[in-house]
Amino acid sequence: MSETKPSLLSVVTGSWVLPVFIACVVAVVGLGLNPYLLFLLTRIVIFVMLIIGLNVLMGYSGQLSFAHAALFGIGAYATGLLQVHLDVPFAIALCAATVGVMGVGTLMVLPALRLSGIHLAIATLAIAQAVHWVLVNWTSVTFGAGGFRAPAIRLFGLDKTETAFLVALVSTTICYLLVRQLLRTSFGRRFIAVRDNAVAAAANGVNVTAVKTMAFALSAAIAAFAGGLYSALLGFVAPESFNLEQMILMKIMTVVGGLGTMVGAVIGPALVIVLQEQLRESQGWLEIIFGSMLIGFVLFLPSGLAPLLKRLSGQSARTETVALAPRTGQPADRKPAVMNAEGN
Amino acid sequence: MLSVLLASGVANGLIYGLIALGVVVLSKAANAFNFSQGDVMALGGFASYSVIVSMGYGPVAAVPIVVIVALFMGLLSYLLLRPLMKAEHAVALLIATIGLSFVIKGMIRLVWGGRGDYLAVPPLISGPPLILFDGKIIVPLQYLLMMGGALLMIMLFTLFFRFTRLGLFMRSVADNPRAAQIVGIPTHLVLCCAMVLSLIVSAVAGFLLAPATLIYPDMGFALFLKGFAAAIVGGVTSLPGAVVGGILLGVTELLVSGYISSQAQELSAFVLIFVALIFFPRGLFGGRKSRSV
Repeated sequence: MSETKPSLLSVVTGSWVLPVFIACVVAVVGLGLNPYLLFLLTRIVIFVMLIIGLNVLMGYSGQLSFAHAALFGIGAYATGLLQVHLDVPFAIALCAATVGVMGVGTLMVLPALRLSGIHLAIATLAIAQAVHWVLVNWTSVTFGAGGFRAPAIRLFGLDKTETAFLVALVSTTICYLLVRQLLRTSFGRRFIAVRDNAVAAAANGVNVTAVKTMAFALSAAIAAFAGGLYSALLGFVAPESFNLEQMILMKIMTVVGGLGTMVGAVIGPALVIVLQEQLRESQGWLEIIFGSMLIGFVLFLPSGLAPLLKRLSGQSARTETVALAPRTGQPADRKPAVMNAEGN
Repeated sequence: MLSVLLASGVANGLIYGLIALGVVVLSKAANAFNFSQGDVMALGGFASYSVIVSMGYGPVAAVPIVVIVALFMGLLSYLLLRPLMKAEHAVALLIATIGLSFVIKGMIRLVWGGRGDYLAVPPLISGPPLILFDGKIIVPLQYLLMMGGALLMIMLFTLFFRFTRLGLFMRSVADNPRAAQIVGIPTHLVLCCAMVLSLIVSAVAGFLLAPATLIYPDMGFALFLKGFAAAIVGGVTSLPGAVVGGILLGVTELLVSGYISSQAQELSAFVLIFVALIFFPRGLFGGRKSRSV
């Protein structure tokens, strides 16, 4: 980035000023909303954090994992269960859950070292279903399919949704800034190198195993932290909040926002959760619309909404090379339909 | 006890084998996996419900309807996903088929009722069960029909691949798509046929399975995973491997549910997928080339 003169716009969007400003605006607006809208907003904020983590794994490192909802779930369960069974305070439970799930997520790299692409997707899918099975069937600890009441958190005399909202907003903002900064360092660029061509990355001295492990560990830790906050927000943890359908919703959020973009991780969850609330009445229509959205984005707008917004706002996409990086296995400037028309 | 478990295990396993056949056909010709296969299977079950229960025709009339529905879905999926049916778009294709699976599931929900609606399809055939070896093996006729139907489909598939020109085309495209195109094989036609065939075989599996179980809109994905497990165990490119993998999975499931616990039954498919992918990525019947990981 040093060779081009950054525009004023990119200085503002590229530094910590704009995210923190937006977070402040969201905080002021959020605390003035009615409880239902505040709950919705908090869900969005928590999912933004979750999708940032998923994006590190899927968008930046190119590992197609289906186990993210399961990790999110383990985080929520661990946080809730530590409080319920062992009377641990929320903050300690949350940290313990984060560290524990980070370990589990790191183990998830073992299949990823041997498998890639579709095969990794299926293997992680099997893990995710197995985790869901454990949550449902290990009734003596997890309370089974019915779920359990997770204790709420309260700070500074606010009610539980407001507390969850503020904690989530602060941690999501910090998480956004940290991850964005991380991805701009050489450390973060190694993720992209491994995604684009693992062999070439290895030839250039990137330790592929270490990079994949870091990506899984980082995204798992973020997922667990988000899960812990989610349990505090919901006040009730049940297996169906973390099933395959939720995983697919997360994929939709990532793809709609834009794989491998930081801004996309904010737009995607916001759009999907608002739409989900609108369609709450009809499960069938919800599935049809989300399914069509996923197909439509993959076919016609594979890089998601974030690059589109960037182009519309007139900012040159070159200022942030990370955002321009191509999706897994296809050049950034070509849509699949175009490639097909060339008949190659 | 063992014989009953084995019989129903084999019957279930043949159904898994059919789904696995669909997985194998598509992955052989197009190097792709279609997550909406399980939902087309559910659609097959629901279509047969409409024909048999709502319209009151016999099970024989349901067969062509199910096949036509699957044919239509196959053509539609192919036209929609055609730009992605290339090796370099494998992951994008996977994600798009997840979207397709959502759409089909949503349509089933809209047409055949709300969430949690379980529908029962009457047995396709009724009569006394088949008794072999002085009552040591008792096979309900429904299971016998399931096995027969599945075996018939498997035979048709094998003959198709061995002896028809299109089958030959498919094998050549699977072997080397570029070379196949250069010698003038219509690769688009082949990919289209692979998609259609894999969905037809799934829908027929749904039709055969429907009377033995309750049908509901969400049934598809779990069954697809089982079929996928069967395909992986058999080596993803082998047709006989798919069937053997299916039977293996069916019998394992029933043995686990009979001797360990009925809840653990659901786990066996995932364990099998995981073990097969990590330790035997070529499967039982896969050739040397099949490891694409």
